[in-house]
Amino acid sequence: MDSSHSPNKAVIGVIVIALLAIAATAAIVLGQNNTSKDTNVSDTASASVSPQASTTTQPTNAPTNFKSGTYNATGSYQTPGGLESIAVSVTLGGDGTITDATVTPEGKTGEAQEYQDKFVSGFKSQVVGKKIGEVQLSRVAGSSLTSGGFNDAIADIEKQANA
Amino acid sequence: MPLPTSKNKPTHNWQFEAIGTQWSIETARALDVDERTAISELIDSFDRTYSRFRDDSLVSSMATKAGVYAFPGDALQLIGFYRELYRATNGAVSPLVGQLLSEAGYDKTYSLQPGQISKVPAWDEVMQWDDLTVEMSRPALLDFGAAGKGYLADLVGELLERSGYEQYVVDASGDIRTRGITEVVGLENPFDASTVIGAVPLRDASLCASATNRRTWGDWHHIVDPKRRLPMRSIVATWVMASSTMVADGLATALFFVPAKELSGWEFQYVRLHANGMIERSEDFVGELYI
Repeated sequence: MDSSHSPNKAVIGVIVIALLAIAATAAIVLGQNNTSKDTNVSDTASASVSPQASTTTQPTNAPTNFKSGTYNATGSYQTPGGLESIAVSVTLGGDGTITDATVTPEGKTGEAQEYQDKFVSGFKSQVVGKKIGEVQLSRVAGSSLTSGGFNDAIADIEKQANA
Repeated sequence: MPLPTSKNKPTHNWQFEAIGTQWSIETARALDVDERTAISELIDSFDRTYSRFRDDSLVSSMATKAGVYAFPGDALQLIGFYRELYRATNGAVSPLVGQLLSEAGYDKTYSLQPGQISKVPAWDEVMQWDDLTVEMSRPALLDFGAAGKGYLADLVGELLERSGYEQYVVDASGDIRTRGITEVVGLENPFDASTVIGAVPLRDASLCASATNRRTWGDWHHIVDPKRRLPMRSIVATWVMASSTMVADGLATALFFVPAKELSGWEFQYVRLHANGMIERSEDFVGELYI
């Protein structure tokens, strides 16, 4: 129906990947500096990235020297509505695996906030639907049917456009 | 768990067109002439107050000059609800979008030709409400499309109840109020109206749908953001169940602008369909989704 926002979603996805990569990198650095520390210590690293930076920070080599804990990073990206940011928190387990990751929206304007919320809620369902005849229904609820006046006006405009 | 099938289905169905959409009222016994007349008068009286599509309405006169205007007694509940919605959505759901919709082409003559879009004023900037009267500091075109139809469905239902009907369905084209019977309502897929994305049993409650696949012209549809002065694109359909049709209707619009957690002041269940096909629903949603 509307495809104008898919770049936005792609941007958020790219940022999150970048942030996960940076959080993991930060974990390695911190881990190297504190090799004697116990596990389950929470440390914080901050990172600010642009979407372009992400292409150079792919976690290609699996890091072996982790320190477990929670790492936070913030990224920002440009939208037509201004600069938006998103925060990522990654928890690393003792064996270096990511045991938890959360994304927190910091959207300031209108639909950016909406998109980030959508990402955060992380719902996994995708609409499939069933033919109306396949389900025993009393009635269907969707957008209101439009009156004759509105439909006539639409038909008129289409006619003019095709003239 | 399988959905229940419709029980005690009323056999009499009165269908008509009013306030720009299709209505259907189902009752166990046929509505007599007096009852139909009373319903028609109720709808017409509502239209003469709230419709921005007719020149002789109260709302149309408010758009012509500043001054004090008196609303009928049943307006108190509707205006109060709009004020709460306005607050909960940070001004996104506002009756003051009337001018914007009209300028975008959704006007009295259905010109559907977008023109210059002016700024939408804040509530307190133009309206001072005192009970049933409002002082307009300057003319403004109000639109009650977000919750008005649901409220009218409530008024029609209450009229039926006063006439002794205990089992009925009022269906104002997607704003549905049932009493005494269970209706299984399909949730129309806005991407393909020959399919449904889910179904929900409805009894002694109301279900309202809001979607952007009809009332669409050019780049516009009827759910518009007063701040950005553009139609909303990230959500394509919402369904809300609540005990009041007015509340279900208004919240269905509100969910285009804010997530459900911002609307925690009301009791409701919901389903929200995002433009990318993702479905979100409240945990207590009793229906099924075809995902």
